[in-house]
Amino acid sequence: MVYLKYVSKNLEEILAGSLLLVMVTIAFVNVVSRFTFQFSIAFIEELEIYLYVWLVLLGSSSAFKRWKHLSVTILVDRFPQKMQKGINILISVFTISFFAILFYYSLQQVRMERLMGVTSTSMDVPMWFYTVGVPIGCVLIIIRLIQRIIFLAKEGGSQA
Amino acid sequence: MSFNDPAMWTVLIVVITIALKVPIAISLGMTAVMIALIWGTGISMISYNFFGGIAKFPLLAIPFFVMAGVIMEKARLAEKIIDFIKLLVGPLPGGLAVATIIVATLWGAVSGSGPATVAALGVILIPGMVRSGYDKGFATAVTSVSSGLSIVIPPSIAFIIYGMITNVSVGSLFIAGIVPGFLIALFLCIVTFFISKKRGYKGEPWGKPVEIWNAFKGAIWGLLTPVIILGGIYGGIFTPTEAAAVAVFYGLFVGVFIYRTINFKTLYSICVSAAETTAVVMLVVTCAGLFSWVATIFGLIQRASTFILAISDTPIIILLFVNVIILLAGMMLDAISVYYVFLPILLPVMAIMGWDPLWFGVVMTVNLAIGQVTPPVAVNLYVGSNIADISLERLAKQALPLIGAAILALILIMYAPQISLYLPRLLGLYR
Repeated sequence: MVYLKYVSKNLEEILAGSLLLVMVTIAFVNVVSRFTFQFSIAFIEELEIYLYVWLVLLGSSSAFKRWKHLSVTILVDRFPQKMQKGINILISVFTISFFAILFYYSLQQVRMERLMGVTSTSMDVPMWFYTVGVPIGCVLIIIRLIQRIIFLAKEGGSQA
Repeated sequence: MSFNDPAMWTVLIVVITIALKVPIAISLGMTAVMIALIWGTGISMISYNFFGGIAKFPLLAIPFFVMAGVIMEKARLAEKIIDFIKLLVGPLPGGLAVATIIVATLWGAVSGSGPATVAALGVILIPGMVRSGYDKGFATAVTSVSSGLSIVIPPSIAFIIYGMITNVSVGSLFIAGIVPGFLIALFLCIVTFFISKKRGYKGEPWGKPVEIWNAFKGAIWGLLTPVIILGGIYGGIFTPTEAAAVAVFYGLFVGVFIYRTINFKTLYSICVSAAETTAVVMLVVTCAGLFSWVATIFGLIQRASTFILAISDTPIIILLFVNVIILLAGMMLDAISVYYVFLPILLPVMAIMGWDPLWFGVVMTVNLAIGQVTPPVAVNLYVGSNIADISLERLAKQALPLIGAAILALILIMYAPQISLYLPRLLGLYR
């Protein structure tokens, strides 16, 4: 139970952190193998690039949880507390709508790629293995944002 | 300007949402989505462009350089470099402040981002200066401004993004940033020296040769990092992305086996923090990409370019105008959004004016770096004021002479392209 709670709280961090470690390791192995065996593993570049998309979506979700994304706070910081709280909730709703739209169209993209049997250029893997990271990431981000709205409404803090 | 003008709405939505604290990435992305939805053009491409905005090999250098920076920070390399530099320049009036600028500049050669450098160095250097009798505001200003400007020193996320958009080689940009980066540091040192002299900030006692040698031995592992990165790229051995991956493993080797400061637990927190920082940068990258794509479709970009070109017949006036705009934009927004929003506008201007893209990359990056330490927004000052626990106003006042020195350096870099282009040409990286 304790583990389960930890994982559900830190799911994105665990996944994104491990993904980064894997990516940097295979990039390094590729450099080393190019030097020692004069042999560069061709599909590694492709794998890394597409894992990168997953990394960005998962990392974004974890950054939304702590509200780390860059924003210009100078104006809103001068508003009264109550108004700030309202604005913070509105911003979260606005952000959710962006990821909801992105979710819809990325799902279309995944369906299209499955339908047409699109495969990646060097590994010949179904392309949607990679692109499905976008809708999954959108869902995670939307969940974290809903959690944030509930938190803001309950605790009522103006702090982000 | 009519009610039905998508270009006008694009500008309006972006300005209002950013002012109302919407994350910059979301503001840019949502504007693109709304305009495309309402005017019915290209919305089905949104997902392809979002995906494609991330899936690019040169951008892969960002997580690796970020990770290398976090590793060096967690390996407590900063202390070692500080100890060494302090012994070298400490005895000067304001020696500790001058040492701070030099360390920040060197740290810029390890880490690719300004606020991360303020955070890594500020926690050690600001209390150190305050203990030696420096004004807290001044100590924080020196740390924040010099760290912010260190993004001109390679490796730098800013150069990777600029190279990506303009098709200028990232390796050449890195080399082109070296001399301007040190020039800015020199200007900052001179101003700091005179302010310290006037206010009577004393230097540190002289170090014994043995002490200096020991400090050097401690710091050399960290100081070798830029040599590996730049040497590898320049020697044609690595691409910048590969150099970044090598820097990560070099840093891990130093942290685990030599300084013994990194274990499994720190490695986990390094990975998480680097992944998160990368995501924050990359969400801006891909959403700003959506924005500039929509702005191109609806003719906003072309109109802005035409407007800039029509301002004057004198090239120098256009150059100054462009730089003032970039400076103002950099004061409000992060550097990456500015590249994505303004470079598509500026590329045709650069072509017509015959501006060298490599030189312009350095000028724009220096300019944006200054914007990042100039109020009202000033991310770097913000991080500094948090660390030192002083008000942004007090900090900003102390930062002004330093910002002035940086602007002077910028004018020189703008006026004499040789400062940026000499080294890449000497190394045969650039025609």
